[in-house]
Amino acid sequence: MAFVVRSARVPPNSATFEEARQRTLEFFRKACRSIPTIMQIHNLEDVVTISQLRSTISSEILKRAHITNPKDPPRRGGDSLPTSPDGANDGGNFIPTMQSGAGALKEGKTDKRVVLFETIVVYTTNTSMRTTYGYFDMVIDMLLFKGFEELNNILEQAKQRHHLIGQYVIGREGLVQDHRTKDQGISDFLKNFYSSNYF
Amino acid sequence: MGFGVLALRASRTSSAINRCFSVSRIFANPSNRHSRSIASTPELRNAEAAAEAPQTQEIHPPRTPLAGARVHFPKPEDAIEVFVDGFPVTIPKGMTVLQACEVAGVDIPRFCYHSRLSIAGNCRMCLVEVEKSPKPVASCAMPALPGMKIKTDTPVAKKAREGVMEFLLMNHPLDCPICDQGGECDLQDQSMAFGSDRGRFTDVKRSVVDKNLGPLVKTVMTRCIQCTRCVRFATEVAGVQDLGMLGRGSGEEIGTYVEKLMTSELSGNVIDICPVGALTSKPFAFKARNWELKATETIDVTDAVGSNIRIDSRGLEVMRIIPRLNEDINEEWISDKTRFCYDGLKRQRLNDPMIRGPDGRFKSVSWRDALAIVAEVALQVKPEEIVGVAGRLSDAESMIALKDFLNRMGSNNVWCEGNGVRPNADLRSGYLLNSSISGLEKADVFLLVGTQPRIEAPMVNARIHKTVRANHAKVGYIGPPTDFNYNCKNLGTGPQTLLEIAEGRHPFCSALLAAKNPAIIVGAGLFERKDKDSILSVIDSIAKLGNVVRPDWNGLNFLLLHAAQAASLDLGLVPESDNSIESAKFLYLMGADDVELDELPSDAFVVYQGHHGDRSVYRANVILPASAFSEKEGTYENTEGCSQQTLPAVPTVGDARDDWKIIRALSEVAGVCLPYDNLAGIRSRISVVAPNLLRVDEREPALIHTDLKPDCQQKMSTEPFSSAVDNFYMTDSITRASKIMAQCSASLLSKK
Amino acid sequence: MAKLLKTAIQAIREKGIANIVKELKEGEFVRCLPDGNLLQTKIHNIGGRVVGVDKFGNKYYENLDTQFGRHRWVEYGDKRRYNASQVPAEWHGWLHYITDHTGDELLMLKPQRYGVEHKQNFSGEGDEYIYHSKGHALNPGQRDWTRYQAWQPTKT
Repeated sequence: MAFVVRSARVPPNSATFEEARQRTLEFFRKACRSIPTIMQIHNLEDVVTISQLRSTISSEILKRAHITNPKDPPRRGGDSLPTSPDGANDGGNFIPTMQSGAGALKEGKTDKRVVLFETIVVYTTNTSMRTTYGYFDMVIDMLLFKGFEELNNILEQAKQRHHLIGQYVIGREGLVQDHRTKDQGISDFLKNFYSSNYF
Repeated sequence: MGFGVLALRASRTSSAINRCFSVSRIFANPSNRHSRSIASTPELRNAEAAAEAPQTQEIHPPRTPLAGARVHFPKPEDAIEVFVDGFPVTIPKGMTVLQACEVAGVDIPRFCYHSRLSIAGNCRMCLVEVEKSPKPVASCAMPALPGMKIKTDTPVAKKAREGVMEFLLMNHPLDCPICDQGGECDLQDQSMAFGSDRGRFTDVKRSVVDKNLGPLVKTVMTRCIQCTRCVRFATEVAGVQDLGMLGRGSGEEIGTYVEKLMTSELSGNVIDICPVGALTSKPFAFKARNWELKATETIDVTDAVGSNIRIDSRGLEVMRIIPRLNEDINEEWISDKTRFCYDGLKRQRLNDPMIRGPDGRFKSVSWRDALAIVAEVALQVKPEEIVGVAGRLSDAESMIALKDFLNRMGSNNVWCEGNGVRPNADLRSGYLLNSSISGLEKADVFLLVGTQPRIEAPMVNARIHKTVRANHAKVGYIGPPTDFNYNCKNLGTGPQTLLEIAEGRHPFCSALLAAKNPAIIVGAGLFERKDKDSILSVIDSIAKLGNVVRPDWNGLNFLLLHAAQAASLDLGLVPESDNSIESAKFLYLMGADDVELDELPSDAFVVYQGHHGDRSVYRANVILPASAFSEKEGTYENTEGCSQQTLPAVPTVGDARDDWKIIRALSEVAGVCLPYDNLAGIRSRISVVAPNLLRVDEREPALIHTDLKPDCQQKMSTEPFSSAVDNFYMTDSITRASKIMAQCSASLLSKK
Repeated sequence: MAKLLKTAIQAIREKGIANIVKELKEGEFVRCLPDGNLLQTKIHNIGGRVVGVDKFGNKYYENLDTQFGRHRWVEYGDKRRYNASQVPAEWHGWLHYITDHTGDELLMLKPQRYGVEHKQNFSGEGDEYIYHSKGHALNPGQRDWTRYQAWQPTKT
């Protein structure tokens, strides 16, 4: 399976916005088709369903739907997109995600990095964005590349079961439920108290 | 041998003639061929000759005394001067040679000698050379005489040590790799430091049948070197005549004379004093090696004495507890409950906040939900229906937080269990051990009222035992029949006897009046009695009669039962109403497992905050998991008024939180936020209420205010005193969860 | 072939046709027919001497007239699913010319107290036979690393 995906590597860049959009859809289809395999090789049947995973993927993609100008992505809702090479896509982001995943769900704490397919930052079916760009979609292509890489890592079992559960199963609920409003107005002590005994 | 020496000589002599000569010399001396020398250094092979030869004495700089050895001169004219390795040392008369060497900073190897036990002088390891003495002398048993010239690093002394060590190792098994003492074994260390590198013993080693000393002490008697430290400890400190020496010569063994368990509450200390692996801890057997353990110096909370302990932990686990030296509290002993309760820290732990659902089952929830529910209910009930009870093991920080929280909610019904109704929190002298634990040694008459120190506070009992042994103090006891390990006169069982003494009709009065420093010890079990005030006023009159409370001596003592009691009274945890439990609608139990919950209304909402699923959990509606004493930093005040702090040795289990943090978080959720966010903040709050709690490791004596007490008009009942502690081994939630303590109470208490 | 036929006829003559049929049935001859390996073994068995039978029903043959090095073989007891791991340890040595002691002889030397029963390799035979290393997510016997025992809420 892995070599199939590897062979479907994204070409260096997309000439037009439409091409990038097509690629995004292609990636989405590819990811969805890999879900049964992923569930099998990572033994995920008892923790998540296919449709849940699929919706996680789509929500991730939709989450980045506002990225219209790939050169200078707009910042919205604190959702920072990488403009610099050490932006949101550094691999280090995953580590706190999977470790704090369980706690974050339980405590209702939403790390904004607790997201599914974080690197798969792609814009999609939003009609308002069907604008053609005549220049390189470098950021989009880069994110798309990262998305394929992530998918590949999962399929090659370079990522393990607990990574997936931490990031995409538990992290998914952290995505959906937003507890930030609940924690408003509480002191730092209480915030710390909910997360750990040691602060 | 022959070839080795040949080669040696050959290398030294170059000419062939010389070589032939040396070979012939070797063969001419047959004894040279057959004797194997034990001494590792050549000059020791003929120690006497070497000693006579003029030696170039190395000059060491003067050393500092060993292990904080102090010289105390009771009478300055008794000071004598001895010379240790050529250096003059001034010591008081009556010190032994070994002590003189310690003051001089020279470490003498020893096995049988222990500074707190009588001198046996049977291991012979401490042999030193004394000038003008024909033989090496056992320094632990030899009194130092003026002008004595002691030599500790001469060939004679070295040879003597090597020889003794060889004899000791002759019958000692070579099982260090499977011995629990390995790594902290005196024999191992000293054989490395002072022993030879080979032995001449080729015979079969003796073996000794292991003795069953009960569930705490494991015996491997083959390893025993007959130092008799354990025998002396049992008779002199623990006060039981269980252990003894049987047989002579190679048939010598330590044992209980008949097949019998060691029934002492201090039996675990023989593990520490055993210099080899003959007596080791049974629960700790094969669990860990001592070099893997992380030591945390903290204090014990299983009784009110606050013994100084060291918690040895590995990773997340407490592996063992051993005593720490504190001359004022526990010397270097601890009770078995302190030492072996640690497995209770790993069982029956509460690790998640839980809420009891409508079906009566507990369900794990998040802290957020649990605190929200507790706060919601607390805000619904009337303020006077809110009641808080602190448990036996609570630290001062969490108790002040609980009190502040309840006060902010509008209630003042907060107390600590064990203090009884309307406790006397106004005068510190009314609940402390006023003459201090070490001060008990000055007393010459004891009157124990309703207290059984042997099971309530074994370390205090050990002091009384020490005093009785040292100056034959008389002990009178009023209370239910119980065991004493010293000579004690049972005067009666109830308040009637107290009245007789107060009125001077009792024969014990003459002893009390004749005493120089009489000590009355009142048990905290009396605090629970209805006629507490009248009993205490009778005791006050006895104290006046016997002149017990003087400016230079305060002998009126109260022996508390629980670690939290003294601090709770210092902090003023006194309930507003006497029957608050009966009218409570919201009951906050902070580790309180021994509260009578029978009279609690059935619709009351009970919050249990604690670390063990013990008794009160079954009545609780919400469970908030807290950390145990080994997992938090907390201040405790012991029964003599000395405040000490615990330190976290291991992390908390599961989702548990520190006690004061839970209350602080709850107060915020309930909308009455407490003003402290960290330990420093909460301690500055304590400094307002009871500043003495912050002077750690310092005893704050109570001021004497005997005249300030109001007169009591209460009628005294004739009901005899009852024992405050039924089972020594199981007194709180930790010890009740412990399997070892359960074994102890099954096997040791049934024998009595 | 002719020799084979002659031997067969001779056998029928000696034992009677009923006995032959019974033998063929016991040896699951019909099942061996479509399987070349088994049929070859059956044919090879002719003239061989049964040295022993182990507790799994494997028969061990020896024929000293054949080529040296091919003179010992096994006919597996299980005709449906057979593989080399079904040979227990005590017969392995004899079968592979490591020793001349037969399995029955070696079995007498097997220590009674700690000798483990022989188990064939079940690889690919289902999840319950898969070996998972310690700590594997699918390993049912995972080590419990919690260092404390939690209080279990009861019904009351």
